[in-house]
Amino acid sequence: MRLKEPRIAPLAEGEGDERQKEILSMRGRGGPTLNIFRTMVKSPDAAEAFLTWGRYILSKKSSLPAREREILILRTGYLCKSGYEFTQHTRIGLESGLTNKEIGRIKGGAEAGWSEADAALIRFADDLHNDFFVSNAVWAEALKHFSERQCMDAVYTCGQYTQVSMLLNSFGVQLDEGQTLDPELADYK
Amino acid sequence: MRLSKARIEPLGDEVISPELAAYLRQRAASPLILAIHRTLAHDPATMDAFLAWGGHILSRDNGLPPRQREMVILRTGFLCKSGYEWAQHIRMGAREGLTEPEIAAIKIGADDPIWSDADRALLRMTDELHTDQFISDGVWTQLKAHFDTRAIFIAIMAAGQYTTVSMFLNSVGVQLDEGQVLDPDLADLP
Repeated sequence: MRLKEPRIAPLAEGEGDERQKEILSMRGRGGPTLNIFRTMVKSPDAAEAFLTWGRYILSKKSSLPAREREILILRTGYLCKSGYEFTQHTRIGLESGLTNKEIGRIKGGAEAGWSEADAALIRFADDLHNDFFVSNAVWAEALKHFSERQCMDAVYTCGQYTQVSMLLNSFGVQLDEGQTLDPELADYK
Repeated sequence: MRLSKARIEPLGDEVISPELAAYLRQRAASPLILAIHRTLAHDPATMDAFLAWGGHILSRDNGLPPRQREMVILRTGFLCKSGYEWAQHIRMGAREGLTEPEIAAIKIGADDPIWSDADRALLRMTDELHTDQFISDGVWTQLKAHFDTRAIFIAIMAAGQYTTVSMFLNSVGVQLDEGQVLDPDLADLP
């Protein structure tokens, strides 16, 4: 984690006005409210607008299959050194069909034994992280396995989780109860 | 520009409904329908969700003054080498009060003497988010001296959003709109 304690503390469970409670109730899962949402909702207008876009990326409206989407998100979170993002999406990735072994391999990059289609996704995320541009070779490789629309959704997905990493890292959002940090991600500065 | 031809062509007038055309012209405060919107419009559900979030970042009452929002956007677009983003936002930046020497100084960065302490903190924040996706303790302290949490939230999100927009413009190869001139510093990129 970049910070050991938050710079902006999340709302405590049960705290907040009616509007904030309503926004938190829309984030779609049972169980305790995640720290990322309890932090964002301190700016309710921004949280609501952000969630409209965030829900698109994570929904079936996006043309990417969930497993492929999670490869892009995990690789982006890893490159942005967001321990929180990587930890949350380890769980979501497992629910979306990635194995524990594959999630470990995401840290190793495109050469770590992936299928051609999966390797193309990792190269796609790497190009966007390093140069904010998908090179001709990687774009052509991606189009062998994915439609143009899926490639556009892949760009949005990498961008969105770069943005989320910037916020998580800089506000110092801490892991939720019961989560453990991958030791390789512990000492990010 | 990263690409001299679009990888995904923008939609032509014949497939854009009059209602959508009116909305996009009004949104861009332009008689043209911008190439970025014509490209996003390939998928209406994507465009609606994307513009809902983008619209909040560009709104006038989100806590970050519009002039300073445009500074963050321009610096991000310049660092991401997006010729399209830069060309669009020098127009918007000027409308929000950035002077010509200030727009030129955005390319130089936070150390240019033209900036106030508050402006300088925002430019340093943008640079750190671009390079490291994290704001260091030193720059965080400078930001807190001039902005409240709500404004800092939007500033971070503006840097992130226009990083996404740059990734999209660069990778899809959105070409300049009629009447726009490419900045020579962003012209010949591999």
